[in-house]
Amino acid sequence: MTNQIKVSVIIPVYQVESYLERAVDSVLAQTLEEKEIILVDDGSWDSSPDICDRYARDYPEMIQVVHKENQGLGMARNTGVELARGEYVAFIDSDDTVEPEMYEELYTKAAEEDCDIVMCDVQIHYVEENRSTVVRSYPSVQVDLSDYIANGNNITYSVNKLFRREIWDHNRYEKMLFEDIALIPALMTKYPRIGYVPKPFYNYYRRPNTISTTPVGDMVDITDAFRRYIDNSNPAYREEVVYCTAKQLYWNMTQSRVLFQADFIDLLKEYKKDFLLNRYIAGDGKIKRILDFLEKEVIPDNLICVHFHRRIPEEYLEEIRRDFPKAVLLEADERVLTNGMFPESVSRALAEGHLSFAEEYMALKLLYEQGGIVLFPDMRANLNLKKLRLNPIFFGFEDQEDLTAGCFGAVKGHYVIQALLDSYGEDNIFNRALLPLKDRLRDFLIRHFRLRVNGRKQLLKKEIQVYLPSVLAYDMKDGDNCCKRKIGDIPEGYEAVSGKVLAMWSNRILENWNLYKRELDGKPPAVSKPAAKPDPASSSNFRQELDARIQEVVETYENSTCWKLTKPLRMLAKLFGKKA
Amino acid sequence: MISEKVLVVANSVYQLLTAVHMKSSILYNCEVDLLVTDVMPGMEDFIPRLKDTGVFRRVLTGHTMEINKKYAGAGEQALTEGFREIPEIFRCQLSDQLDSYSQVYFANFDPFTRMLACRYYYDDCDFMWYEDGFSSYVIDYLREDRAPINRHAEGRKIRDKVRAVLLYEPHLAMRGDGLPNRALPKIQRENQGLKEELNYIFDYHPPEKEASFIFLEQSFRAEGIKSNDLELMKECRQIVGAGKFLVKPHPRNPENLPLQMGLTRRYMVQAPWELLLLNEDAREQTVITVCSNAALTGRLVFGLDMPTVMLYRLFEGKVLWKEDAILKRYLEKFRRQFAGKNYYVPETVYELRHVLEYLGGRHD
Repeated sequence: MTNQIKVSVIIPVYQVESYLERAVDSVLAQTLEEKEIILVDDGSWDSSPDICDRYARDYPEMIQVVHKENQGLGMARNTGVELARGEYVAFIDSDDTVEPEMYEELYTKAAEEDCDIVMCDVQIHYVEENRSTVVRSYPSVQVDLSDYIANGNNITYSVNKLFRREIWDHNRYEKMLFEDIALIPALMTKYPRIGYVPKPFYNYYRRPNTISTTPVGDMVDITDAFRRYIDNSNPAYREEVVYCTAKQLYWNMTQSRVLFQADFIDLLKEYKKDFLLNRYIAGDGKIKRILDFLEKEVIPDNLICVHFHRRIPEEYLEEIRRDFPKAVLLEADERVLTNGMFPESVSRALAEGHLSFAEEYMALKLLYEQGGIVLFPDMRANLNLKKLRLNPIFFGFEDQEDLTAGCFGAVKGHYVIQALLDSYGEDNIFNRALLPLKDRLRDFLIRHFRLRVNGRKQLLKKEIQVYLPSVLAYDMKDGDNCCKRKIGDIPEGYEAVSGKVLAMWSNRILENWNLYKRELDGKPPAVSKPAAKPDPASSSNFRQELDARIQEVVETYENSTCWKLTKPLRMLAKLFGKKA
Repeated sequence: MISEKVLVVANSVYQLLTAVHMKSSILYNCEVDLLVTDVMPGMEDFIPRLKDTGVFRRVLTGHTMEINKKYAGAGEQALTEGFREIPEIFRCQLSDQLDSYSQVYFANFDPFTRMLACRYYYDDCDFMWYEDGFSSYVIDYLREDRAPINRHAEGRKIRDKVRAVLLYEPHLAMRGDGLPNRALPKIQRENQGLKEELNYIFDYHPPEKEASFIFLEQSFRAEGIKSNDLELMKECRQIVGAGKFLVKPHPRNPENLPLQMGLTRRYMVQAPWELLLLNEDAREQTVITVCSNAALTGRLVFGLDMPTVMLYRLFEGKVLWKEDAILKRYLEKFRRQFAGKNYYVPETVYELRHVLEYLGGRHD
C-alpha cells in the first residue's frame, strides 16, 4: 500500500469546525486515487477533533488522524510530514479547498519531468466582498528559476505546491507565525527542478478577522521569516532573493502590515548592503522607494520599565509578551541604585522617599543609553504602540494641560533626553521641589520648542511628536490608543477617563464639526482665539495652525465611511443643483 | 591735614540711603555737603532729621524738578538759554550757596547735574556717578543720539568731568560708555550705627506683618507700555492665595489698578522699601516683580539672598524698557553671575506656579 501512495495530503486542523469538512471533502474528491490524508489536530477545543475522528473511522485506509497539543501550523505540518508515506507531499489549510484535478495534474507533471516541486495557481476568494481573483504563479509553463524568484507570484505559499517527500528529510517548518515565508521560498532556490501547471487549483478563502488579516503581536515573526529566507536560500540566487524580499517588504511596509513598519526598517538596515547594491531594486522605480526607509531613524524595540520597590504587575507582563514578543524588556528595580552615581536631586529624592522621582530619572537614563519606549508599571500598552517607534522621539498629553510621563520614547542618545537628564543635575525648581517628570517635560518643551499647551497633537521642530491624550493616556475608542493608565478594576467594556479629558474631547468634537460646517459653507472660520498664555503664537502662526486644523478636520470627515457612502447622493444633488 | 570737600546730590530715597552710606564709608574723612532735591517724594520730611544727625557738613535743598522737566527734552536754543542762566537758577532754586568741591557725587544725568558740571568745569573738581539701580549698569546716558542735551556744547561738558562710576556690583555693568566702574562697598545690615542713623532719618517704624508674597508693581502704565502685568499679578495671587499676596503700587502709575481690580489689599506700609530690607528679615518674604530694580536692591545693596521671583520672561509687552535688549542681557547676567540661591526666573507660567508653591504659596 505504502508504495502506491503518490501524494500525502497534510491538513493541519485548528478550531475549524465550520470549514473542515469542506476541505477534507475537496481532497477526498480528488481524481488522484493513490493518495492519503493526514489530519493533524493541533489541540483544537471545538468539534474539529471529533470531525477528524469520524473521517478516520469512515476512511480508515486513506485518512489518519493525529491529535497533539497546540504548537501552531508549522509544527502540525511537520507532524504530518513525519507520518507521510507518499512519493510527494502536499499541504492544504483546513479552511480552504482544492479543485478535484489538482493533485493528479501536479503529480503527473512531477512524474513526467522528475520535478522536486510542482506548483499551480491560486484562486483567492475574498469572502466578505464576495469576489475572487486568480493569482498566476508565473507567466510561462517553463520556469526560469531566477526570473521566477524575482518576478513570480505565490512563491511563499506551501499550499499550491507538491513537494518531493525527500525534501522533508532535511527541511522542517519552524515554530513561528510566518513559517511559509521562512521556509518555502528558500526551498525553491535549493530545489531548482520546478514544474508548473498554470491552473488555479487551490482555493484560498480570505476572511476578515483571521490570523492573516488581524494584526497580532506575534506577526513580528515576519521579519524573522524574511531573515531566514535570505540566509537560508541558495547563495547563487541571492540577488533575486533580496529583490523578492524587497517587494514583499514594500507591500508589507506600505500596505498590509504598516503597523510593523519599524520592525521592517530594522530588517532593511540589517541587510543594508544587500538592498543598496541590488540591481533589480535599482532598476525598479517603485520598489527602490524602499531604500528611502533606510534613512529613517527608528526607536529600538526596547521597553523600559523602572520599578523601585514595587513589582511589575503580571497583567503588564502578559500584555508585553502578547503584543511585543520580540521587544527587549529593559527592567530596572531598586538594585540599580546600589551601583552608580546620581545627581544630588535624585539622591535626595531617594533619601526622602520620593521613589517616583528617582524612577523617572532612571527611566530617562536608560532611554538615553539604550533608546526605546519607557512604559511605567501602571501603564498598559497595546499593539498600536509599535507605530510610535517611527518617531525619533515622542511624548503625549495626559489632558489639555499636562503631559504624561507614563509612556514616552526616543532613539538612543537623543539630545532632548540628554538635556532632560542633565537638568536633574542643575539647580532648578524641578529638583528643589522634586517635581514629577511631567512638569519638567512640559516646561522644557515650552521653553525650547514652543509647545502649545492645548492637549492637541503637534510636531515640534519637525521631530518631536506630541500626541493627544487619547494616544498615550486614555483609550477614547477612536482606534488611536497605544497605551493607557491602569485605573482600578474597570468592568469589561468600560473605560476610565478623567473629567478633564472628557470635557476636552467633547469640545473638540463640537469644534471640529463647527469648523467643518464653516469650511463647507465657504465662510471664514470664527474660532475664538486661545486663552492668553505667556507665550502665545503669533497671528501668522495661529492662522497656519488654524488652516492645518481645518485641513485635518476636513480630511477626517472626507475619509469617513459615512462621507464616502453618501458621495453618490451628493453627486446627484450637485447634478440637480442642490447641496447635499 | 585738610579734609576734602565733597558735594553729594540725592534725588531719591535710594540715592539718599547710598549718600548716607558713602559718608560713613568711602567719604568718611571728607566734609560732605548733601544736596537733596525735590525730585525725591516727601523731601521736606527728611531734611530736619538729616540735619539733626550731623552726618553732613551742610544739608542743602534744591527745587530742581521743574528745571529738569523744562530742559530734559529741550532744543538747542532753549538749552543755550538755560545754561546761560546757571548762576540765577542756582541762586533761586538752591537753599544755600554751593562751595568749592574736589568731588561731586551724583546719580542722574539730569539737566541740573549738567549745570553743576558747567559750574565746576574749570575747577579741580571730579564728578563721580554713583549707582541709581540697574539703569546705572545698563544705560549710556551720554550717547549723542539719546537726547538733544547730549549734543549741546554745555550739556555734554559733564562727559569731561566724570571720572568714575560707583556701583555696588561693577562687574555687572554693560553700558558701553567707556567710563571706569569702581566698587561701592555694600551696606552691612549688621552695622548698627548706620542702621540707626538711617532709621532716624527716615523715621522708620517696623510695619505690621505684611503678606508673605509682595508683588512690586512697575510704571508700565505711566509710560504707556501695554503689558500683561495685571494678568501676572492675578496668576500669582491665585497660586499663593489672596491672604498671602500684596501688591506694592508704583507711585508713578496714575491709578492703583491692582487695588481697584481686587487683586490686592491696600499697601499700607509707609517706610521706604530699602528701609524695610535693611531692618526686616527679608528671608520671610518673597518678592515678585517683572523686573523692578527694587527687587534687586536687596542683593545689590545689602548682599541679601531673599526669595525673588522675576517675571520678565513671562512679560508680554512691546518693550520692558527703552534699552530693552541691554536690560534683558543685564538681567540675565545678574541671574547667572550674581543672583543667589533664592532667585527665580520662571520661563513658563507652569514653572511660576511650581516656584510660588515651593516658596510657600498654596491655592486657597
